[in-house]
Amino acid sequence: MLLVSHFKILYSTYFAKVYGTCLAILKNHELAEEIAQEAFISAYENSDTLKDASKFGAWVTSIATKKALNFYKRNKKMVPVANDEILDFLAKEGTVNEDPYLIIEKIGRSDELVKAIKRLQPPLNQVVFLKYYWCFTDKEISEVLDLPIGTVKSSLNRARKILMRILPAINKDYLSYLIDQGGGK
Amino acid sequence: MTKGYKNYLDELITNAVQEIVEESKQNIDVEKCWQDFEQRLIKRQKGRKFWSTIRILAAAAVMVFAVIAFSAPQQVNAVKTEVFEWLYKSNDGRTIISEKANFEVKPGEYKKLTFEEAQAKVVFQLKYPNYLPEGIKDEPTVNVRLDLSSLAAVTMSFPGDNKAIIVKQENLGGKEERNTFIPSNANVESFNLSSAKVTIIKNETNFKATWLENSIRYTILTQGITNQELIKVIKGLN
Repeated sequence: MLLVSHFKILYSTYFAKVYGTCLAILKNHELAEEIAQEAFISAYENSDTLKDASKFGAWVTSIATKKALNFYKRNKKMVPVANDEILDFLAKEGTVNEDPYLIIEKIGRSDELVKAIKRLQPPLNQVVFLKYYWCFTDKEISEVLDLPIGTVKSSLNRARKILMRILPAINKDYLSYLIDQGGGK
Repeated sequence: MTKGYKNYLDELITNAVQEIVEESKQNIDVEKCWQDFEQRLIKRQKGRKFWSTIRILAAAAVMVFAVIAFSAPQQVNAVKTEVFEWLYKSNDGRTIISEKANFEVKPGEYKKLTFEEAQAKVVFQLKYPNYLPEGIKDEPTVNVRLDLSSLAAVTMSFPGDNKAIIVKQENLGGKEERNTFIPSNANVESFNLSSAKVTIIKNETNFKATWLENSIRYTILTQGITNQELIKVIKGLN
């Protein structure tokens, strides 16, 4: 087992990130902190099973995600917002009359996408965080969440579609054209 | 979805999730969380040590019980009590020994028991006379009377030729009030036995000695023995 003083370095580096991931999944500060703590305790107690120390972040995240997922399964009622409601919510805040290019710029920094991701439910939000924040491969996500790889891919696609529809006023072809021209960024 | 659009969307999502995690960092104080983490670790390690000790103790207790049960099965044929005892830690870290005893009482009269059988039926420690006067046989008849509230009276009758000794031991519950009427032809005397005061009522041939010790009432009735012998019997009772 690692020395506590050595583990503190890993803890300081990753705890907030793991907590942030748990918070995004569970949407509750206390629960997220609790799950993250439990994940780090498990990680500490099983630290001798980790062969590649550079993968500590991904490893502890997978432990936390599993714990969060188990917790979520046991308490499904805790997140009453359905994924489709996100669209209704955001549609009301749509930006129909704005210039598409300005919308892209705005969206790149706006709260709307953040709000939408925060409102996603498991397993979509778990898949999104593991994919986009922790850079897990589909196979790794499938192992962590104990889901078939096909479900992971379809969850990712579904999450993308939901998030894509946050740009209700954008003519996607025009947007694509802009991006292909290098106007997106 | 075109590839460019997909990539752009992926980039936006990546930025958003990073923003979400960054934003959430404001909710927590990592140093404080670390202190909590350390405390939890210490608690777990203590808990693990504690439970491993308990497991060892439990295993030892099972082994001792098994050895006793297999080596001397003929000695005890009734379970007097079931005592459950366990150790645990309170919230403030103090060790607590918790004990729960279920006394199995079947009220009634039990006759012609051995001393061990009588002992197995009562919740207090029975005494046995180490000294018996000449002519008294060390072959007592032991009877036990039990009532529902674990109160018991154990009578041991030691026979002899024209002589006899009866030793009665009973535990007391609640308040006890009794009046002893002294026959007109009897004398009363008393002496101290440790912290107990022994009262002896005697006539020409019979003695009755009675005293109270640790909530157990002892009564000795004798026939055909001397005062000195009675006192030796009383002092030799343990």
